[in-house]
Amino acid sequence: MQLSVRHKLQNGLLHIESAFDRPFGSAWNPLRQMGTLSFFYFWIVAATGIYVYILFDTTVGSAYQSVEAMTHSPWHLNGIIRSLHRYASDAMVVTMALHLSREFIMDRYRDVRWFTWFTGVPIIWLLFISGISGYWLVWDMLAQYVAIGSMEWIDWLGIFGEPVASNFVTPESLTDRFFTLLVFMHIFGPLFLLFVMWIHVMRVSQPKLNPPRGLALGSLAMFVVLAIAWPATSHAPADLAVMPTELNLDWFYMMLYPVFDVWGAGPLWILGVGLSIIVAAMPWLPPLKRPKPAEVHLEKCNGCSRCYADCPFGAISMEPRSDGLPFEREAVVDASHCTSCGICVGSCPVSTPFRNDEELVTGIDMPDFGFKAMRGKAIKLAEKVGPDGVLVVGCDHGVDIKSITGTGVAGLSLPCIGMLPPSFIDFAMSRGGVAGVLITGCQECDCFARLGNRWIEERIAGVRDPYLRARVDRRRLGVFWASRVEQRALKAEIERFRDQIKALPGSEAGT
Amino acid sequence: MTAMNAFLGLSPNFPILYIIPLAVFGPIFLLVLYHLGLKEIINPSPETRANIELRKEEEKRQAEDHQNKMSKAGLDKSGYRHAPLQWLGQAATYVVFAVGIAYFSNSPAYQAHPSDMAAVRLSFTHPPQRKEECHKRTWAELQKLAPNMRAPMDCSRERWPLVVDLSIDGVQVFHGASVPAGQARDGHSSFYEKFQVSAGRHRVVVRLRDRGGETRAEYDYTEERSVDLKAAEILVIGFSNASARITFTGGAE
Repeated sequence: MQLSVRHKLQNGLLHIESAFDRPFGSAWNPLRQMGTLSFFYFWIVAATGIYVYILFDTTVGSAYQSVEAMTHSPWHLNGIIRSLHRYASDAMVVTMALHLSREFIMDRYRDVRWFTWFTGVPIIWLLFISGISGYWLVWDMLAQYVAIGSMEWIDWLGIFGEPVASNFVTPESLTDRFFTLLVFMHIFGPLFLLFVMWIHVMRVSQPKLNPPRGLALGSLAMFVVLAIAWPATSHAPADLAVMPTELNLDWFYMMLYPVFDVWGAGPLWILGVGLSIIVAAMPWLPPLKRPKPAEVHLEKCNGCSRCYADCPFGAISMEPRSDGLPFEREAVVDASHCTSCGICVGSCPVSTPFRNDEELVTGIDMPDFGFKAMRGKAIKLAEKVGPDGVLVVGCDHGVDIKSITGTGVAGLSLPCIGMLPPSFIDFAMSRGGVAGVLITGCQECDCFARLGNRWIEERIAGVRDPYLRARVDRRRLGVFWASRVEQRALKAEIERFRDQIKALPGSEAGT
Repeated sequence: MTAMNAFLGLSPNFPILYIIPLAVFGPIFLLVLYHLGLKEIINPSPETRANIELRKEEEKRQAEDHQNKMSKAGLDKSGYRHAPLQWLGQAATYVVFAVGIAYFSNSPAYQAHPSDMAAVRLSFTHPPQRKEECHKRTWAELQKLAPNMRAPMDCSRERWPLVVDLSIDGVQVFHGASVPAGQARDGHSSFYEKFQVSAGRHRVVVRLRDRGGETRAEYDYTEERSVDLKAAEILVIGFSNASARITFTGGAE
């Protein structure tokens, strides 16, 4: 089968992530934590920024000296703080770029995710405004180059009565008052950035904002060592009577300044605004695919609110009862927020396959691949593999389930593994007669629907409703997370799992 | 401020006038905050303290219960321990990342301006002449106006575009017109242009027309100067509205 470019990119990325799993383990894998790391780096920058600001002189004549005093302070403590401020903000550009690229490659920006993607675009602008405005304040030759370049770029718009760049023409033209304005830009830029970062995650249910502790400590230690070994320094003090010549640019924030020197302001505006519009419009660009959203069947909904608690995108709300049944509330699905992952079906206590009801209706269901279809398919697969067989239940985003089917192994693929009601495991073993059930799906911390593998684990462990019944023999139940490219590892795990079952008393080999 | 400082025996530079409002209103502000809710944070009541303790105990119990159940199901990740080789792998990853950050945060060097070239900046703001001359209103004209509108001079708002021409060593390097700012074109006209020139002596001629726009050939202001510019030095050509003349800053004559 011909793979699309995106599919190839996804496979490449998954292979890289798999390589990172080896030293870090899946929970600490930094490639799956780019968003949380960006938040963490922001806090480092904010905390060190407050410290640096206390020591900073906001007058144009003394700003440079105050930064130099910091850099060459006794024990280099202030210099270390300054370096932390710089390096963490540089790293934030890297993590932000990787976060954006990863979400794009993994196709996690369409449908309900449009809001998060769309609000990410101003974050890029605000991060650059915050970083670049910080460089102005050092007021060295680099600051002079960047400040004048930035002002010339803004002046191209012609929105000010007179060119802002004319404030930097002679030493006399740059006043303390104007310099204070630059300081305020560097304070309000990050504050506004934080505000938009908050909006960015606002529509995400139970957003994960902090990286795992080990990764946070590792990054922090890395910055501290870097700050000591390679402290951030300044150029010569700014002198508006001469042109800055050779400069050591911070390429993370200033990569576009050489382009500005060659192209000029107009083309750079077109590039910046054009790219932003294209990126912002991506959720609506083809190929558009939108499965039907979840449907509530009120006659089976008792308003228990488990689907409301489990929905990873806040698509379900609990509203006053509208059908006269003696329950206080009912679940209501907001179609514009629903990704059709089916996690709500897995959380519904009515989703039990043991019922003899001909209709087999559950409280909340998926129109495209419903609970009844899931049960029917599972029964057929169980018959196919026989009493010694293993039923592997996976998801559409993990290893291709069809590829692992064979003698004694059958696979059932769901939109998300969180769609699996725990009673289904019991049903497959007791009524379906399979020897064991192996649960698989997206790699840990990388669930396409965000929380699917976490919820199923908690349901199995009896931490989260609905629980897996105690009568289910846990030795015949396995959980193994594997990304799409880790097919070989999953196959090996299936073999190991089958051997484990065979060795159990009561099974063919174990008797 | 000095008298107050002297009275209190403080240094003349001590900002006493800024401190007094803080000293007076600061405690009042803090007192209000304290009674609005700060009290419950700084000095919580026994009831609040008991509630906090209970909540903490409940959270702890739930966390332990969660971990126990996950552990019993063989799904607890908190027990995961990294092997020594994994720690080494992590350290290597951090080193690569750190070196990348450190290197690109100030390397490779960029030549922002050729080291053997100087620069000329044309930068000024000047209000050009009005398109129509002002005239003094007569007594009869003033009487026709409402009492609050009786300005003695009648002036049109719109001004001419400002035209600038710059030649260096006999070569015209810039000629442009700038329309005045504002909806009614009644503000200042501004120029901000930059040019690179080789270091050394140059003959610079600047001409400026603030009346008639491009409809006139002659200029209202002309300044000609021979300047010696060092490498990277900037010659700034401006206009002093106070002395109504073109100015040169930088470069030896």
